[in-house]
Amino acid sequence: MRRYQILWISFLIVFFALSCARKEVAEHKVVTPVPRVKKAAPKEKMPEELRARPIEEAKIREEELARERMLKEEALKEEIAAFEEEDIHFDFDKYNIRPDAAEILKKKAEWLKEHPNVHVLIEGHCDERGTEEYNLALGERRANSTKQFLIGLGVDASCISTISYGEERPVDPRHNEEAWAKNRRCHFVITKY
Amino acid sequence: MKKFIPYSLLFAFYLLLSYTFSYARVYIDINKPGQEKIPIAIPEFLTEGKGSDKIAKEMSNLLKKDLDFIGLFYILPPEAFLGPIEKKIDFKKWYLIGAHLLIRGKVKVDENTIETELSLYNVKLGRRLVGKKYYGRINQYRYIVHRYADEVIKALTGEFSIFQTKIAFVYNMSGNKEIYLMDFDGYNPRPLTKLNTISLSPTWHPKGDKLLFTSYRGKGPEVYLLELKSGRIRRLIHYPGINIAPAFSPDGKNIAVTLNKGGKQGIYLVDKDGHIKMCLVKHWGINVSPSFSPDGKRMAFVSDRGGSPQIYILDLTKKAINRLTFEGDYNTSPVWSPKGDLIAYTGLVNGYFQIFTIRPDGSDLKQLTYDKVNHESPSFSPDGNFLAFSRNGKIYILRLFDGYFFPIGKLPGMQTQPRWSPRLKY
Repeated sequence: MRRYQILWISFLIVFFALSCARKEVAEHKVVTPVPRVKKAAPKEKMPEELRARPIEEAKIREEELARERMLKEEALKEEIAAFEEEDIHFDFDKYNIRPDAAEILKKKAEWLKEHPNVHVLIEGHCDERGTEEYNLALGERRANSTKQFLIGLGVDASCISTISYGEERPVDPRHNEEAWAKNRRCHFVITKY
Repeated sequence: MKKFIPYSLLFAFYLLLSYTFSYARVYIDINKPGQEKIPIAIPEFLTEGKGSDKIAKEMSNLLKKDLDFIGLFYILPPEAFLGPIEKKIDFKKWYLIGAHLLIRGKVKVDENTIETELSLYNVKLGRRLVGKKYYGRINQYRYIVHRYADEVIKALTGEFSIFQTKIAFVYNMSGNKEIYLMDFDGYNPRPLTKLNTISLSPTWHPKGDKLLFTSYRGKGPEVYLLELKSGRIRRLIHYPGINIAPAFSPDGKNIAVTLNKGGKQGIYLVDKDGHIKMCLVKHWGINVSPSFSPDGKRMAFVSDRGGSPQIYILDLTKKAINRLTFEGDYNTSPVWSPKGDLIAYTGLVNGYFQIFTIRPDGSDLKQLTYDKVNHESPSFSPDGNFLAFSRNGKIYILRLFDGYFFPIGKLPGMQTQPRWSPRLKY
């Protein structure tokens, strides 16, 4: 899925740029927290300053919260990336869940249950062998059996949708056994979180 | 799309001078294998007007190519001729060089238009079998020749051939797949869709004026209708889940299509507006690629209910399903021949896909291709005498009576899923 790689790379670039920018802003503000220590200090200050200080403090709290949120989101995005990174694979012309795929799906199910707001799209794919039409049908069966497996593990069915791409979107374009094994897969895309 | 208009106009201009002598007798049985090729003489056409020599040459060459396509003729080399064609034909002269059939053509050029005339003669009897006159623009000469070729074959076999047909196919360009159309001989390929997505499985309406195809233009694979004349594309079948592999019923009124209803893949019959009429096949497994028998009473399809993809036949009156293929572990893409006598399909043999034919009763299984490359998606010509298929991303034509096959078209890139049109009226 080169498309997704590009998406992720561009996302990372934007993210870095953003976090750098944030740091600069934060450094500025590091100077301002100093008044915080003086919080309990003389009340005989200028009324203007008195009014100014709570505003500043609120600002600081907001900044901190935003940073926390950022960190949390960053962590979630990393988890999402890891979730999407891992495909499950199938045997030729089969759509049953293999034991190795079942282990991966158990992990995915746990994570999905911990994040009930997440919506996942399961893409069913096939290798290039066989007819386009049959492979479209096969890709759907793969996506469906994966969905059923996740539902069986307690994942809310309404959070899962499926699409079949048949043999149309190979992850490895080569024409050999190794590529075919990689292309017979279900890929996961988080559509909402 | 606009290209269609001149062709239809062209034939409105045609003076169809029917001084055809229709003989009930069929000279050639195209289905009889192993028969000798019929020697035919196609001398230079008689010409009149400026530039007529050049166009006459191109027309006679194309006519030879067309008749060669059929594989029934031995086209006599011009060196054997005892002289040019006479105004009043000396049949003895042509009989001497071994010609059984003789074609005499005339071309008259008048600025941008051509007036043409062509006759086919039985040399031995000295008798005209067919004669036609067509009139059109110079740049339409190919279609005029194809029409003559069709008349020649009709006079000899009793049926029109494939000269007035086209082939729709899927063209893989820079990762997108678009639906394309070309003449039966690979000439003039042009796009029917420019959707910049994956479009697949073109399938013809029996009248030849519309095509259905599957496309990812929307959320998932859905079925679209394309009107050839206007080029208009409309989303027709779009239920949740897959909407794939549509096929028109022989009367053109209904469409069989694979849908997913409640997690079960089935083949459904929908009307021309896409509304579900009934379920034809429902099963927990895969059910795909319907193809109707020409009488509309039976439907071949692919299912994996037996553990591997195999071809089954649904009897629509008895509601009974029977398995057709038992050889091999992977048999798909069934297509019913226009005469109803054969079903062609793709089967996996030692890691490669090959083209097969079988009778609908399961007898007379024949493997038509053997090379160690993939041969896929067979499609019958409307006369039932040829199969188009894709071989490693190129479109090939196979003559059923002698098994000879050859590539058509010269496009780079991958071309797949050829679908032969019905005989088209221009």
